[in-house]
Amino acid sequence: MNFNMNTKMKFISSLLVVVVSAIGFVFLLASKNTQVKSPSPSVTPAIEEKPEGRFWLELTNPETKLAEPINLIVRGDSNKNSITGFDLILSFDQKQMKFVSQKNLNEEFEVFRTVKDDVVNITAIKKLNSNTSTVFDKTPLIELTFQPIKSGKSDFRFEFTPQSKTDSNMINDKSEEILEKVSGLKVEVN
Amino acid sequence: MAIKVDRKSSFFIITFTVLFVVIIIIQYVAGSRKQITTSKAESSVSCNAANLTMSINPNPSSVGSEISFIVSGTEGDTYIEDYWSSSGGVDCSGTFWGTKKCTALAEGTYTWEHKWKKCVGSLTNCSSLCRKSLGFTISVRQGPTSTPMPSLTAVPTPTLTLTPSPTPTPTPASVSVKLKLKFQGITAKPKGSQNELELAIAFKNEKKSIFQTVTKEFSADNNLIWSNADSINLTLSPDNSYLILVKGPKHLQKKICDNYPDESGSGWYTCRNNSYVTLREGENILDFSNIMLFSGDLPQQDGYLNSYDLSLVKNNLGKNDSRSLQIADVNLDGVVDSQDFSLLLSAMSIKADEF
Repeated sequence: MNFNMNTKMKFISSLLVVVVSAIGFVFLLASKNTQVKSPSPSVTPAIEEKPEGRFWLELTNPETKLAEPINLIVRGDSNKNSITGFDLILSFDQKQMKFVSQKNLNEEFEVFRTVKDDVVNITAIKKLNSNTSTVFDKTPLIELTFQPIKSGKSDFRFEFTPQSKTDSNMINDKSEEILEKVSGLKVEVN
Repeated sequence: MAIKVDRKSSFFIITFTVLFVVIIIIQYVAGSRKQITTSKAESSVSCNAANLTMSINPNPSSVGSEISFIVSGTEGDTYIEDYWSSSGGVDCSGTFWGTKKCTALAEGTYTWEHKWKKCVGSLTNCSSLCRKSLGFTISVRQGPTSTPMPSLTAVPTPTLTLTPSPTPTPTPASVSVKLKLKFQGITAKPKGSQNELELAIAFKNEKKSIFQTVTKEFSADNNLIWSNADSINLTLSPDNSYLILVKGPKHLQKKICDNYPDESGSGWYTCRNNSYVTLREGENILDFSNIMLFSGDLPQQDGYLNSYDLSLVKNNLGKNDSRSLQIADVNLDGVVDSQDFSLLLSAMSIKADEF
């Protein structure tokens, strides 16, 4: 009876040590992984919700010269939302740049453009015969061409206030405005 | 080779292991808290109210006049909001950058508060919400220039005193207005309640500040001319000149400056300089049916035709329920279809309300 008790106790003790140690190592590993993912204080917080809708600008050729026109690509992200239309209200420095033209890069949309002074206003709506869902995922939407007038830095800025429908917009298939972020661009012409 | 472990040894092993695990858990929890603290780190960007200038023109203003609320400076990249307190003093429809145009509604002293955030580099790197306020006054609208009071002359006889007779204030003439209008794309007389449109009509005086705004029900006759059965009664001085702004429930606002406007010349009516509608005492029937009122600004209206309005038609194509018809049936034929879409596209060259 004593022999059985001693063996049983040994078995239970060993099992407990193994289980508790395993749990300990799991916690230790989890702790290490967390610390690796922690951002440095100067960096954007690690937990950041992806915006519902976003527009940004890209320069097709990073080397900009006074004699050559520059091309800007407007890209969009819609975070899985299906998009019916969008408005781009882009302001630029008239002393530095002259608007030349725009080109539609997404065949599913019909595009209308007006330019007044230093503001390019583009409205795009899905074509009547297009019935498929359109999700923007870093999608190139419009190419804008400007002619530099003089060298120096020049700003391109989207006019945008969250929830306002009278500036830049991204409208989903429920006619809701989902644009949350825009990023302009500063271009230096040599 | 079996290792002998008695009860005492087992107790120590378990205690040691549990302690080990507890220490690791504490370390883990501490690490998580550190991460949370890091993620909540405040942005280093701050705003400077001295870099933002606010001005109000005119200040003081009078009831019915237009007030400009102007913001300038290097602050205010995003989250721009404006509040007016007490509420009800001004009507500022739409969203405007830089200058907000509002109508003074009621006499009183008010405060305009402007809110903004300063951002550096991107809209993810912004200051906390900043505020700046400015007071303004709205006084009662100036009436007609008063006739100078006659000067009193002392009467030599102490028993008699001359009392000046009060100067009669000119009473505004009674003016009533009936309009005849035509809407783009409506090619058949709408049925039932569809044949009732509520329009906003604004009358501006020569100084171009809104004098009076009314909403009236309009219905179409068999010739598709829309008129108001109930006259618009105004308290305007007669023989004066006005601009009339007409806005339908799904339409862009049209500015009209002639008693009998037509678009036979250019195909598109626009106001000429120094031309005005003249209203006279009594009933005025203004026939504007030779010009077309364009659709485009669908509910909720904001003064613009953009992707939001187009999406209302596109996203409701083929529907004929009352809600869809109310917001997107532009030609009032009982279904949201490609014709409504085409009507909006044809107004894209206009895009915004006329003022």
